[in-house]
Amino acid sequence: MRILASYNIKGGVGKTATAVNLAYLAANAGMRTLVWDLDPQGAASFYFRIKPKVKGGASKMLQGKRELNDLVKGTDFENLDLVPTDFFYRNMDLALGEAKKPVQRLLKLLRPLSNEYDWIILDCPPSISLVSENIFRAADALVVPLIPTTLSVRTLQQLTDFLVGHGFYYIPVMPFFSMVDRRKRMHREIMEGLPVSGLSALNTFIPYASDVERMGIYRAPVGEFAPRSPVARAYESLWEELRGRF
Amino acid sequence: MSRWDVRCSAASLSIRHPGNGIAHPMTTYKIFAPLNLEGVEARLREGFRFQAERARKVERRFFDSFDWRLYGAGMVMEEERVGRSRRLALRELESGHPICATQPGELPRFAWDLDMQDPMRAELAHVLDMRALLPVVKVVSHTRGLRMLDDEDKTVLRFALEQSVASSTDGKREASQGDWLCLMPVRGYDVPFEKVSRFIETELGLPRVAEDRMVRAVQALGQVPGGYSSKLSYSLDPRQRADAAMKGVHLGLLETLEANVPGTIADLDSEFLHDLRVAVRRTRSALSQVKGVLDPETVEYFNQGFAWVQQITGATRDIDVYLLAFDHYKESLPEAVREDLEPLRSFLRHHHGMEQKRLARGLRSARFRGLMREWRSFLEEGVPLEPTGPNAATAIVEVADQRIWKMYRRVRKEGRAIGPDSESEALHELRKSCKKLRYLIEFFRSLFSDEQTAQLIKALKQLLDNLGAYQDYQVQAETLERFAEQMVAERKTSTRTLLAMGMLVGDLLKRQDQARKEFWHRFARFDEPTNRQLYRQLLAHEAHGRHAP
Repeated sequence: MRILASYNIKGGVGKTATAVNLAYLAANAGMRTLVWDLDPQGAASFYFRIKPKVKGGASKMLQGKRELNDLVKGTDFENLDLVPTDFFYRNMDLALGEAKKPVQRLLKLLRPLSNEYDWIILDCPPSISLVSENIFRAADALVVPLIPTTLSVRTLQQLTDFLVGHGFYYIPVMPFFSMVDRRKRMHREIMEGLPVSGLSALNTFIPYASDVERMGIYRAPVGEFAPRSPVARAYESLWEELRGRF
Repeated sequence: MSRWDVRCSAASLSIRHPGNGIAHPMTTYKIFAPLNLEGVEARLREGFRFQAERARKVERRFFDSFDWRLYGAGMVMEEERVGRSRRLALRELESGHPICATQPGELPRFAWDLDMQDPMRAELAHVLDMRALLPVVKVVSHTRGLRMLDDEDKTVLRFALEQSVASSTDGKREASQGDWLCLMPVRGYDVPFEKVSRFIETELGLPRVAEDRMVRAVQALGQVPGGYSSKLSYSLDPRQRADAAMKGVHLGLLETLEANVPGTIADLDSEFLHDLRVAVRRTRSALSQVKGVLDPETVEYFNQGFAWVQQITGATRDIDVYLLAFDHYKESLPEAVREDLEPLRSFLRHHHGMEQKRLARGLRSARFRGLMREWRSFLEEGVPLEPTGPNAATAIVEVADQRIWKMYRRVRKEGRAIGPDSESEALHELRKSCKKLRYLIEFFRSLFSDEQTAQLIKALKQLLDNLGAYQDYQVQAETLERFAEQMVAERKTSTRTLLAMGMLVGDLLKRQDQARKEFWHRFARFDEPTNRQLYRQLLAHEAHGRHAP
């Protein structure tokens, strides 16, 4: 089992689209795949048409009284399951703070599923918190979508500083450019000048595309309703590149 | 515990037990007249909201090794083809839970044909070892899919209405399997599944089918899954005339022998030849060890025939042993010289090809076919009223007692005579006697208590493993030297390769030495009072009739 976290401190950079489309491609390749929607906004759950629970047992689960296993739902796609978000996740930091060994909680919950899935993809909420520390502890790699803007690149620096400062220096950080508009000069310049030393940056970039926005209309991964679109192809290359890293 | 038992239990350990949130695996119902596929669909639509999928033709082929190792380990391997897509899946036989799936470019014949990273490779290697995957049965289904949706248009349950035909892999036999309704629950949506299955069972009155699709298809063709095993299993009547009982034993061995001929000729994997040779060895052992039961001239005639079969199959098996152990040999060498050994592999493969051709010619020859035919007709004709040997009309249990007891005493005597200075010949002789004893116990197992014979075989096996290792290391070292000379003569080697082979020889001889050191310990365990007591109990009649050990 490999655990990937689709993560960025900043919101609105395409984390959920990354998690959903990579999971779809992994499952399509015959890998047993699980997405855990950790973001209380629940976009991943929405894309897979799975209703988030208002009182879905997440609180009991974090207290160790319930297993993650019980919350897993099958999607419309073979080999692809999802743990839907829970409204309770908005308070997750508080709940984790009260738990024993708060940083290891997530990994402990995931461990029993290790035989059942080849890939587990975490769709993470933005910001740095106790939740993200849990994610860093559990993940085999961080996949970091990055819009080629100054602000976005700055958050990458913040992330790597945090990781080094908190003893997570060993996690491969795999940034890649997302929502790229080649017509914008700034995008081109930033992409050429990104300092990637010490990072396991991915070469594939995901173009800005309305097909990604249409995921919300079709409520499905892009590969399902626009398999030949450039963006669907880009996700395929991203998945291939990523898979080659393991 | 035999090697096979170890495999089974290891595999069952890895079986994943589903928690509450895991979907049930597929549930299948058989559709009976007056209901048919259309009728069932119409009834379902009355009660639930569905979306229909396109009708599809699904071709499934099931694979296993010739000796059903996957089945024995509680697994099923299925290749599913829909249109151009092909998928290979491994699942649990009982529960139907998936273990792993892959989409290989080509169908793997051996576990090692799969990608290193493919999780299926390890799963298969663990169970199949060196055995090839062979097609077992094919099922072609015409399927109509239905999906039950919730108010978000999310699929909460899948159905398949299926019409299937099973056919043998050579396409010569076909059997219609009738109509099925398959329910494929979506994980985490238990309520719709339970609602619908209740409806199907109570309202439509359809019965659930418990067996896996593979099992149903094999049975539809009139075969038995797990039907072949190289293990001996007889159930002899203790009072039966010895000659008739022995003909039964021989017939069983002949079945195994003949079952392995086509696979040996086609060289599907190394174990066809191995099982064939074991059956021949057992046959010869039964012919010569169970004396005075069959007509001595006939025994002599067939014994010579089978000696010839052993002889024409020997060279290929010798090379098989090296090829199977090659990676292991390579790893035993220091890393720097490992690659130097590769020319030996090509040499072995080349000679294997030549020997295999010779062997296939032998097994296709009139002489071999004649031998099989004569042997079978001799075994199948009844026993003569007038017995042809002094023990022919004796009850088989008495003959068994006597033979096992005698061989046991011989093993003990030979073993006890071995001292630190004994020649290796003495150990080889002891090994032969041990093998004979083991075969005898295996032939006659059903005449004794299962628990006791299991203990005897276990103790004997530990000794045999040691003696086998001792001899194998020696033979392998000697053969390697012979190969080296041959390679030099054929100019197929370099000094580096010869040096690496020399290291290997040294290593083998060291291991042989180790085995010799262990021998005493193993023999002492075999000869300990509890084991002796066991033999005496088992063969009470013989043991008390003559001198007790």
